[in-house]
Amino acid sequence: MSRCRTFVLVVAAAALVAAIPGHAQEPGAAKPYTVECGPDPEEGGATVCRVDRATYVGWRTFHAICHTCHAQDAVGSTFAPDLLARMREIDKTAFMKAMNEGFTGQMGVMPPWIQDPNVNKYFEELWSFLRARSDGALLPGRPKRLPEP
Amino acid sequence: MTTKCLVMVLGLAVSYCAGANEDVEKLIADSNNWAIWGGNYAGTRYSELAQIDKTNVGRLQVAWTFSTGVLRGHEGGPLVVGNTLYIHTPFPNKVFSINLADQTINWTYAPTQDSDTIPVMCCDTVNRGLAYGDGKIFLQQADTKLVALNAQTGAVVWTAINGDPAKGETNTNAPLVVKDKVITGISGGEYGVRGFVVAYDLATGRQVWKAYSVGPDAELLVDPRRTTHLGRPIGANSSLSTWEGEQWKLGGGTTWGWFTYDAALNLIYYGSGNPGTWNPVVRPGDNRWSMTLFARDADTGMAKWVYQMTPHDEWDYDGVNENVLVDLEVDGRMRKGLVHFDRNGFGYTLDRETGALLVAEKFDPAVNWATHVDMRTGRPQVVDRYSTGKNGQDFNTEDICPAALGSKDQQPAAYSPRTNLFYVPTNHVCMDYEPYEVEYVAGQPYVGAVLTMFPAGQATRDGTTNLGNFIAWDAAEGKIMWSKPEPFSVWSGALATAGDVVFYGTLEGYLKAVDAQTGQELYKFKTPSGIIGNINTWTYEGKQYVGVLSGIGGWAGIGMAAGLEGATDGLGAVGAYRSLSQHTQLGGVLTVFAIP
Repeated sequence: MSRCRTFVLVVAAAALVAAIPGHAQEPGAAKPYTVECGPDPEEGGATVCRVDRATYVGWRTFHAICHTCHAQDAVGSTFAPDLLARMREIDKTAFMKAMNEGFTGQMGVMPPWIQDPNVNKYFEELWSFLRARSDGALLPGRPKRLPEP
Repeated sequence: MTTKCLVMVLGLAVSYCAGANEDVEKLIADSNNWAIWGGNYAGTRYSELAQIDKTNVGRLQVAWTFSTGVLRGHEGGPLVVGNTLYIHTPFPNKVFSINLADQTINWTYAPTQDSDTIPVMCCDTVNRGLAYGDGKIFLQQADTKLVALNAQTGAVVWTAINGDPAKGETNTNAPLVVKDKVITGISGGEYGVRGFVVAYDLATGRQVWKAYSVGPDAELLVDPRRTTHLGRPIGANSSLSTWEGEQWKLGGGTTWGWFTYDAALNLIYYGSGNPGTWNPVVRPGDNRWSMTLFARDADTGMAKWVYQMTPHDEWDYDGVNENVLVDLEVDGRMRKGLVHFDRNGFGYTLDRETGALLVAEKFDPAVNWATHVDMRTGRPQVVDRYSTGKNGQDFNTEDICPAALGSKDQQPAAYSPRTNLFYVPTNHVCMDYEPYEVEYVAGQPYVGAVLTMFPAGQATRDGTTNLGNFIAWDAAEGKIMWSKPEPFSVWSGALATAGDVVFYGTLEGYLKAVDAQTGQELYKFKTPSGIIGNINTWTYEGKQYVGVLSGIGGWAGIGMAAGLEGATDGLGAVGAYRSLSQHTQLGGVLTVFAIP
């Protein structure tokens, strides 16, 4: 509840991110997420994002495992990259390759997540979450679930 | 007995046999050295040196600097023995011996470690430093190899393998030399590692004793009738009976913090970390002896007493922080005290001889997960609203203070006998925490909780945005005497001196000196990178120096980016709050200060 008020100005930040030219979009490809952000009466009118199941599961997996290096909201830390920027540079094939085989970066080493049953079931969901974040569609913070279709 | 016999029989053996312990004690007693992580076995991080005092500290200048050549988080600090300074780095855990005469490098130790160790280190590849003893430098490498180096030449004297990174076992702690042994622990609390403390023979590296935190009595090194918890014998199966089935095998209780030692009692002190998974729902029971302070006989490892601070942890409040050994008067009676600032936000004072609980008070007013500690049972009185176990799996418990990184993490406090105050670097961060079901696979993260962290002011709604405080604490009363807000967590080890100056570092990279009585800031200097290292002091040719390792990283390097995006505005502090990366960047540098 306490963070409701913090969302308001973040909308502007997200809009800026979205406006950055060169932001990778596969032409014609459907977005791997559904995100609706807006004032939420349950949260005193603060802006809250509601997301589909895949994006939500991706958010949760990320904030259980990946955030210990890539930080909350995927903004990066002192030893793992800001994925908001990185996701704009790679396509789904490269993403899945890194998840399956691991990745040795300039600073750190990401293990092959295919070996971890708490992660390897959710590669698609992580893709959805990270794309929603890097596209600027999903604001920082905890999202809520959209009603199931 | 053995030592005495050898001395009588072999005259030549005198210096060797007497060596190990007395040598270190002699070096420690001479405050021209900084021969052990805490400045002394009691871990007070207090120096008798007084050339730099509160009247002249404002004139402090950089005397010399040294780049470690390594990025990532630099915890710990330099050791100084005579004319030599020893400094370590994060992974790959290099060690440099530096000649204080001209700051040239006497020798370098640069191990080759498997890079597969890196991803199983939960919160950056930190190392908290070296130990000196018996003419050797001891390094506890990330890959768990404990290495004894010849202090003169850097040559490897012996090595011992302490764990298996393939199972998530790694090391970050500084070892401790006690008598003829070197004591070390194990990291891997986020990988289901079962924690233990080990004593290796100083001369050979042979394992002498090993004591687990959780499991069967024989492996705990406890005596069910003599080992006590708050004055009562712990009884048989004290750990096993607080776990379901075989869960204790993934029971955590890792031992990655600092060790202290009381020579008169011959006891070593340390704490254990979180119990297995962060999901409390799936591990009912008190999960003993995770989150526990231990007093163990240095020779045998046998536990004299234990005290579990956070039974059945629901928040990741590891109990590994340092135990500072100070004699103090509590309720009109002199006590051999032990003072511990726990991750859970309570500052504990115990009798270090008996393990009796004397004081348990919050050292950050934001702490809300428990109302108080029941002094009879020692149990924190948990507030239902903040119980992630009661609220259950897949439920997001909001606004818990402190966050998982604790009101204080490993950054060690300092104590001045001149003010009788403790100087404590603290975090002022709260969290939301959602436990969920998780599957164990060896070598993979075993967490099972989703968490988000943010400045405590968002939970307390008091309009503040600071993520840290540097406080002075009266451990006899359990009272904050003064509190100095810092924009970011204070993640550096403090130093107090007979000059009535207290030093600490900030995540932006400032070395700060404050008045020991009032906390008034007397000096600051921005070092090349954020400080998560400890500040140590020594002399060379009669002149006092103060040194600190910079190099942003560690959990602070993640946690502090966390909560900042979007955390700036709702509290009316637009623009006042910028992320850490706007203040500092990576890079390990030792900066040494002196009065010109």
